[in-house]
Amino acid sequence: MTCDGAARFASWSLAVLMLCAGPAKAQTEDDIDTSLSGTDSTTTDTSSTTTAGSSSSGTAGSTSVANGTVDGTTGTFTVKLLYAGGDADNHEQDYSEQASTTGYVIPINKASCDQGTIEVQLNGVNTAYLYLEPWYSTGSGQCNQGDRNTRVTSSQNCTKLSFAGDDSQGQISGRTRFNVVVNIGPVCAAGDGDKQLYFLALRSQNSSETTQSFGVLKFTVDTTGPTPATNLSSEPGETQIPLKWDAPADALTTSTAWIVVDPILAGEDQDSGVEDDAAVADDAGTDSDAGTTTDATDTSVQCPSSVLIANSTPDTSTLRDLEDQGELIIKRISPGSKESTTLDGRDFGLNVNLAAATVVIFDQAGNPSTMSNVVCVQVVDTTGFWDQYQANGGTAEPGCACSVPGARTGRFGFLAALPGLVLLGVCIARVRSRRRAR
Amino acid sequence: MNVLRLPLVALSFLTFALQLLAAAHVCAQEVPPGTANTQALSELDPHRRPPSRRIESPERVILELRGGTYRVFPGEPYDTYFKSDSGPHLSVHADGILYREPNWFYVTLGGSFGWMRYTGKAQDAETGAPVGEETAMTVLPVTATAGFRFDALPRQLSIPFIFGVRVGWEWAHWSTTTGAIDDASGWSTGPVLSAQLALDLDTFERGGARALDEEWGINHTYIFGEIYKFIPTSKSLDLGGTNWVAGLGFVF
Repeated sequence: MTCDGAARFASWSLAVLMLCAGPAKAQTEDDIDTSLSGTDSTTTDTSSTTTAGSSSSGTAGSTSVANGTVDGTTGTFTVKLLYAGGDADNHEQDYSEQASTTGYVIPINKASCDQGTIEVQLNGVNTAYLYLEPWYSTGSGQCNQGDRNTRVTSSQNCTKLSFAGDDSQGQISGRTRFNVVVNIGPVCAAGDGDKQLYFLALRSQNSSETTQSFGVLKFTVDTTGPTPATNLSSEPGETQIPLKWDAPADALTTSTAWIVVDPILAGEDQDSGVEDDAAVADDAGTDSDAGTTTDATDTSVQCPSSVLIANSTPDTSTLRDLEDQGELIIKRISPGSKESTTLDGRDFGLNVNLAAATVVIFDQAGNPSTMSNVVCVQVVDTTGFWDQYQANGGTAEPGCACSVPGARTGRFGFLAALPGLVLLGVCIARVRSRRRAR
Repeated sequence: MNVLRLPLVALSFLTFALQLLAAAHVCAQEVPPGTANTQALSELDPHRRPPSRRIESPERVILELRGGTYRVFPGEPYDTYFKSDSGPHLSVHADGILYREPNWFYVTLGGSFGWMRYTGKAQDAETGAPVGEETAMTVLPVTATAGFRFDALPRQLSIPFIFGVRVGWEWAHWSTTTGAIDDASGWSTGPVLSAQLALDLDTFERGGARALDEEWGINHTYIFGEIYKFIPTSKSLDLGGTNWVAGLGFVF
């Protein structure tokens, strides 16, 4: 074997050995964390940790976290939003395990901010760490960097958030997956916009601690409602009462609108100066003809509602409670950019001839607009073609020995098929005649 | 009305276009005349000789797509609610050809299925004033008819007019609503008569007509206008009257 041949043999052997050994085993997060155990390391160590995170959950690294422009998976454990408080119906949002890794798509609306807490799930937390702290940055972000003292400096300007309820939520206690509820008041107080919450896993809570493991939750705070609907109008009707309005330009096809109806029970109307109101309600002494039975000078109809007030911001929780109690009717329509609907007066209740109605439009985050103008919906007995036909002495009766009044016959198929049967008979007759001819 | 005319006109143009396309297709397949090869092929190869007579596919069915207005309701309460509404009336009619005297006439038996709907404002029961909700009537007419079609003019004399009559029975299912309430429903039945004048499209483009037959099995196409009269029985809701439809017909 020549020297050259020996060298080739050696290189081949090395290559075969490398192939047999397989690819180098990737370091797991646990491996790294274990290796870091006992090293209360600095920011440099943090970057090592985030590299470990990339092995389990994709691209990571504090170095990629830059002032609100985090892309992709961030941190070394995942954070998912489970619940954002507020009125679930109002939200029209499903927060079930929305991961933080998809950008600022999770909207937190005014109802959630008013409620003030969010519940998140942390998954993949390294049990080598003892404490969990939620932080919010109003500065340059990157609350995972530096120690406690530098984190609150002006450049990062991070604020530690508190847990809602039991403080023991901050004890990792050997758990890799658990839920915590965090107060987000300071986040909402900072105004609308994109936000990042850092969940830091720490070895100690002294002033010199540094972060070794963290997760980020990204969301958007939107507490501003859309422009309200205008020019709401109604026409009298019985079972198909039309409502029309002008939807604002920012009403979305992907959001919803509520038609809120407050039926006015008999005797509740405060129509001073209107018809037939003598001796009822609050009109005594308010109009010139109090004490009379009719005041023909004013035929307007008024439907005062203590709940529906034009241009006011609706308390959607209260409205839903009243709906549950049967005192209000809320018709939810989609898309939110729709500009008409109909109401069924039978839904208002027996002997209810009037109802106040308004429109509330919701934005994508679930924030309600202020109420539109409030209109008075009148329920009147109506007559249609058939009523009039009978009143005019029409002799035709419903059905054809196969139907009942007030309902569709549902037996149309047989007679509709009759011409088809005739044609089928003709075809069969022709086929037979041809066979005979052969 | 105008809405109805549009699809009819469009269908007519579509038929013409189909015929022209088919004619062009046939022309493209013909051997260019006047060449030595053409003559040789035509004379020597019996398979390439032009047919000595016209070959048509058998005629079995006549299909018509029809549309028109339907304003039959006389007086009250029809005028109160549906006065400004004239339908439309859309239907499909199919006839089986019982007997065909070639180039002279057809005897047919068939039927149709249609749809029409009328809407108007309901009224306040007390004041009689129109209110926001609608009252509506939907009619689904079904007919069974026997017919006679005389098409000798276009076939014998190239005059593109066809005459047809039909006699039969109609079952018109009606239902009325006011707002969200179904008021009543039932059937009006009675004899129905019709007379049709059709314009034979084959007369204008015979090559295209033949191509349609060869490629689609459509022997003839025509556009038509028809006057018909429905005479409901005395116990039926009076949906009768004299009306018209127009449309496009195909003979398969």
